[in-house]
Amino acid sequence: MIVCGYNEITKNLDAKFIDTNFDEDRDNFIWGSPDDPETLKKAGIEDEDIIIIATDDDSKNIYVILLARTLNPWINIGVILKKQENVEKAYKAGANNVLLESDIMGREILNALLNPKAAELINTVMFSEKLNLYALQLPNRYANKKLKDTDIRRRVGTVIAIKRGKDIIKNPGPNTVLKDGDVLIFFKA
Amino acid sequence: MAFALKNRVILFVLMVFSLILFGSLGYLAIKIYVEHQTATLTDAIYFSVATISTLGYYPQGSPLTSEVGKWFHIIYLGVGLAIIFGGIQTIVGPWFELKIRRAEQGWGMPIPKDAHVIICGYNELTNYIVKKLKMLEIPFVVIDKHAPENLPHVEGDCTELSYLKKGHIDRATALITLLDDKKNAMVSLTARSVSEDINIIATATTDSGEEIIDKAGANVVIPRNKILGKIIHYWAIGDYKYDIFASVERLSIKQKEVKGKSSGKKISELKFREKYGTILAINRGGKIMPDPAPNFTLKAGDIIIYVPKEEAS
Repeated sequence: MIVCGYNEITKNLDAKFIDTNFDEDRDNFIWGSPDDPETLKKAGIEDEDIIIIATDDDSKNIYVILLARTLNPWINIGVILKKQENVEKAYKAGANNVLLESDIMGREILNALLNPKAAELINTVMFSEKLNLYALQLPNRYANKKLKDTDIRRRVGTVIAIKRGKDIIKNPGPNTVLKDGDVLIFFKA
Repeated sequence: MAFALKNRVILFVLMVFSLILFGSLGYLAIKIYVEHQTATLTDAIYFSVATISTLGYYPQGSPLTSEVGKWFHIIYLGVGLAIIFGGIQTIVGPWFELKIRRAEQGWGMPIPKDAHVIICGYNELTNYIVKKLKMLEIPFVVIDKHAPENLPHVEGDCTELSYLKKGHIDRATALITLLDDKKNAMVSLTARSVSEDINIIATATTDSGEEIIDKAGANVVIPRNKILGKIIHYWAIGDYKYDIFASVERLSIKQKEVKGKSSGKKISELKFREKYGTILAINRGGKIMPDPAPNFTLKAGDIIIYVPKEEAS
């Protein structure tokens, strides 16, 4: 994994970092600007699976997306942006996942305002190792069965959501029919 | 205030409409069944409108000439005058008052005085929050030196008490501060000093900032870098936790407190899933119990955390 921009957000990631001002020298620190193809090549972009672009300048981030996409058409590109208007541009430039800072923070704030206990739970889960959301690929033998006709509830727990392709099915009922390829999501200690 | 006025205008329009309908139907009925003459709908509406708009002697060419007709006309005129003049007074009065108040204040939107949310700082994040609060019809005021004209706002700095007071902090339910760490700490301190129970929500960028803002009196501190870092980390390692949280808005997790007759009941007895949604966990006095079994017995004060069903979202 390559990370462009070494900062408060990215510093804990286990990756190779590209930036122009590190405060120390480390093996995984690559000095240079990510908008220079030579720097990206030096970081080994051609053989990496994931690149995360998180400099503090939206335009630079989008430029790096374009660059990374040309250097490695198969790489997974994640980017953090500040301005709403740039989200679409980032996807068009070839990003796989765009995080909009104000969206994420806004959600957190509104949750804290409107559903404080739910927000607390989300944060507990986010930062704790004990509580977790589990995802389980639906075993073949359960495909095309109704949820109530399976022993999933008894054996694993309540299915809180089902991830089907890009969609998330909330609140699946006893009559929800499971499909091959579904990912069941559980919440457990 | 604005909403109440809008209601009044709607009521008034409805009343005038029914009044004209009443006049027209009465006119038609008397013309045809009492005076045995022909009358068109146009005549009837013309009669009604001309009369309540008090155009002096009632319409030429289509008067009601019978005894009953004249009495109907007198009554209709009386009721009409009452509605028109009464209505104008109750609508135009407050409307004028509002206009004058706005002119005095020099801003486009009145500052809410009660049960509102104060937002400190105007930036990209403010826009997101304001959009949602509008949708939820929660009143708010933005305090910033560069607050936009089209939002309820106070021009000034949240770290100074005088501006918080202009935003009616004593009556606000919550304060959201979106400034830098040092300012957010100052705002939290200032706000807490005037209001014991206001819900203060602050953002923080550094670890030390998070701690200090918390000590300064904020109820919730949201660490920007930690959250963004976690989310990007989960995405990078392909953890589904990330996927769920990325769609938190789509899941829109909600909470409900157990009260009254629900307490002492089992989850299966409440038909909670059918009525509200899937239960994620029960929070009992701060202890989180995930995935409760159907025979779990609820107690008053328990907080049910759930994913609402589609229709409710």
